[in-house]
Amino acid sequence: MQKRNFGLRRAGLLLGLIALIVSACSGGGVDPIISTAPSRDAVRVLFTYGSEKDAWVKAVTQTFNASNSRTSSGKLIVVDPQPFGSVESGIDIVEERTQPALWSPASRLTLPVVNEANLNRIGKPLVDEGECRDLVISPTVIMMWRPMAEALGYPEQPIGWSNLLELALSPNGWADYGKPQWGRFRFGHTHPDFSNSGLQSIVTIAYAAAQKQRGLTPEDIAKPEVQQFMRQIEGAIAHYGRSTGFFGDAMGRRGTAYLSAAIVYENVVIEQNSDPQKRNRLEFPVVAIYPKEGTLLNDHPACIPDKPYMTAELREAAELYRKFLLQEAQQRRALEFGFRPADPNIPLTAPFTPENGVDPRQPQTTLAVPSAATIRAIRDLWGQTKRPVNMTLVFDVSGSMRERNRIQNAREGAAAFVDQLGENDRLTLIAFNENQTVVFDNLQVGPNRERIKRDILTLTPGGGTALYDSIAFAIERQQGQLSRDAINAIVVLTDGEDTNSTRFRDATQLMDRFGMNAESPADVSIFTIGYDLEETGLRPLRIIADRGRGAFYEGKVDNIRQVYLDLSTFF
Amino acid sequence: MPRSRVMFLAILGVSMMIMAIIALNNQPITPEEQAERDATATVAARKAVLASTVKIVVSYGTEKRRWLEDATQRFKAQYPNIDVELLGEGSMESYRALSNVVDSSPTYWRNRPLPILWSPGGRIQVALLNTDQGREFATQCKDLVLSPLAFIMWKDRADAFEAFYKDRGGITFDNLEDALSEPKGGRWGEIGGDPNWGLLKVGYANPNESNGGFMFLMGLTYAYLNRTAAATVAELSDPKFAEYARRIAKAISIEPLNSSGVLMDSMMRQGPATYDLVILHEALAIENAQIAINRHGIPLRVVYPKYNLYSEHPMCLIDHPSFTPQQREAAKLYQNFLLSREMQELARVYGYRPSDTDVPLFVEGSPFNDPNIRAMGVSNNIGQTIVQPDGNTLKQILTIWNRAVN
Repeated sequence: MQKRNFGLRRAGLLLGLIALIVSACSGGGVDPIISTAPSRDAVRVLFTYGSEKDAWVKAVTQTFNASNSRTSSGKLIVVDPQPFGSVESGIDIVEERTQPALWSPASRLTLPVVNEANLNRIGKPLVDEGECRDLVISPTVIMMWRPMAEALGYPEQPIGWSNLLELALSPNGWADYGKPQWGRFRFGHTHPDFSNSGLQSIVTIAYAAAQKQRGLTPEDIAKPEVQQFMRQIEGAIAHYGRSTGFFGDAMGRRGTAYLSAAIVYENVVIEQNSDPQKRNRLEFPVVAIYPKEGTLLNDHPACIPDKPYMTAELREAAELYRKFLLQEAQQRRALEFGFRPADPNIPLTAPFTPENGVDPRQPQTTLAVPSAATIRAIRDLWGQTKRPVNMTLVFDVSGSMRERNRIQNAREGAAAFVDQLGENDRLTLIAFNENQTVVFDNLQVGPNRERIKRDILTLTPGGGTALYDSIAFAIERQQGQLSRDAINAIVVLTDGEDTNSTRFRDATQLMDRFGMNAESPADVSIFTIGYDLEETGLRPLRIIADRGRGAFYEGKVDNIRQVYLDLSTFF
Repeated sequence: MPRSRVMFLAILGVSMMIMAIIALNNQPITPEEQAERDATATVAARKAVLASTVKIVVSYGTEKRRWLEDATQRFKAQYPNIDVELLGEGSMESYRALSNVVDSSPTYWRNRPLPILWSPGGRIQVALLNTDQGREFATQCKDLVLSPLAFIMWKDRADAFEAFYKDRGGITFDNLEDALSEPKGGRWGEIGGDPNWGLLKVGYANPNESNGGFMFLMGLTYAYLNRTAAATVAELSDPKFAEYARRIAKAISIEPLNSSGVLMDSMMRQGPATYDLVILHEALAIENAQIAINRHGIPLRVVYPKYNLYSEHPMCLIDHPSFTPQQREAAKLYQNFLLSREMQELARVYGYRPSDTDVPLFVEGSPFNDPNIRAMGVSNNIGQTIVQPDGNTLKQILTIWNRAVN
């Protein structure tokens, strides 16, 4: 009996062992939670990358994670893809806010900047540039409405920054080309401190200004004619921003009255023309202009950071994943998302077609990546020549702002926002409930920064909400002091639906009166923050931002500071 | 007989037998006997290799990646128990890493596993490594394939450049220097090309890191000397040579990449917008001929420099105590497999000239005989082959170049 029991126990143990082996070897049945919280038997590869290639990365990473790839020691590799701005994601690694095993900014332009920062911090570069592998290619282009490009000679005539400068400087704008209805030339690029395409924009402008294609030096940047060129081109900027995709989408949705052109990646142009939903809402098709002076290719290098947290196992896992991204199947999928595969064996077939506004034979020439010192000089010059902002803060002080610490956090967020503004920016503060109070008017930020913050931090709530009338009040005041040399902007924060307006009953009526007009000599961009609001309260704020050339943000008590900081990238 | 005596005699007998066997084994043996023993050992090792899985790491110059990957896939099909890991590295880069390897460590450079097989672009890296290690650290070397140096240029650009310099020899180092220097300044509009092409962009691999880069440096050195006889340290120490090297380096001014394969991939990926021409092995042009047309719609042209040299792509075993007999056997199997007629013929498909002289080049069925490849300019007339100088002179050339460009 005892022997039989022993036999049964042994059989049970054997079955258990078999079950264990089968479960360890089987491919399926992985808990989906593992992608965010891997077990001890898994190695997690945090992959941070420029957000422009998010759709491709997410699509192929899903395939990778489903393939149950393992390290040589048998550990499951789980990749956690997280999109960020290219420049800031690199600085985040340098300053040890993130610990990715693989990092892929949009271009190699970012590498000297980030390596220099790491050198200054710990005496060695962050990545070995020679070890980085390019994932996909995408040139930086000027996205323009097709009829506007045709007016400039597209596609027969090569177009460049010099043509755009001429257009930007003309008081007649598009009227010089027989199209007065398009108003003046307005364009946008992202903020170079946050986004790769912004950095690329100012580098290509600097090259064009110096009339060079390589060998750009800090001495070139110091030349008066280069500074003048940069100032004049930047004078046509509508506003800056954090995300390249934002410009693509906003331009597509808002039409010719918003922007004539934006600096984006080639894939953004393809996306606008080929995605049925986006194409249907376009006022006209858009085309990619490859500047005749040359442009930069975004090569999306994937690099393994040289940091102490990179164990041999993590490196192995990161290398396996990177190898996967470079395999033919994943490279072919890049085409779908409008990227040129890094694998040269893959021809540039659809969607790289003239109907989608792109030309795979372009660009004809590229610009050399400048040294870190030159890039620093260009960024400094941009800081001096960028358009200042002439802004009105419209701040809700209605009684409901007393709830849940709203007023305190919103005041602190706004004060932090003021810290981000430049010395020459000008600010007006209108506090509103059922009435409007001008707390201070048109103050230059530089000499008054502390006073401005003090005034903001002492705002006290009480009363109703006349949102639409208060925005109208702010627009009318600002229109009286519009500056062609500045970005004119209104930033509205509110926590409640309108209860007290008498002049305007809703957002549509308000924006029918004050919305975008291509022919106006200067524009006001309206940015809105829906603060701790339900969906019904958010909707009108979206309409106001969209028709007011601005952007909409949703904020909560615990993230309002970050929302204000994000907003500051527009200026 | 007492039991203890029986035991003593038994032990004595066994000991004498062992001694006799050892004595017999230490007898001098004939070469035939040794060959038989080796064959038996080889068979045993091969059986051991084929009976259990063994992994070998192969470091190779990146330019021959596609051929090696293709051949390795076929090798794995034939020998499923041998796991071959290919490690593509710049030849000079891997030479330096191997120079620092010591017997006590089975890893080198960036904690990677030590390769048992090493195939740099040229014999020069082997000579340098064995000099540094003071012994035959890279041993049993066999040349796998050959490829001469060439100017590889987009056809439209090559035709325009050649037409402009038709009275001065077309595409040569001298004319490149002339085009890149003031007053022309490398502007395509001033050397017969489309002004929208911007500046003439010449790519080369870093001579400190890559065999292709080193060949480029040899090409321009002999263009300066204007002869095929071996260069000497004395004539290269003349400041005029340093000035010539500095002028060329300054004129090119595109940061060199670390390996030939990476540079060629980059040219194919980014197109004529980034590189109008590169100076690399001919094989890379042939291998990428169709890719160039498919990806950019423009064929490539191949022009050989007046004074030329081949890369030999030797493959050597690395002599290190960490390798097991099974690994050594697997490495030899792999090396011989690459030299088999089938793989040598496959090498032609990827643009390499087989080292096996029995595999013909310009005959029916050979990719070298394809009219499209011949139209690129690929031919048996690769220019005058130079006489390579000794190791010291080679090092001197590199030193002068580094001083000139930094």
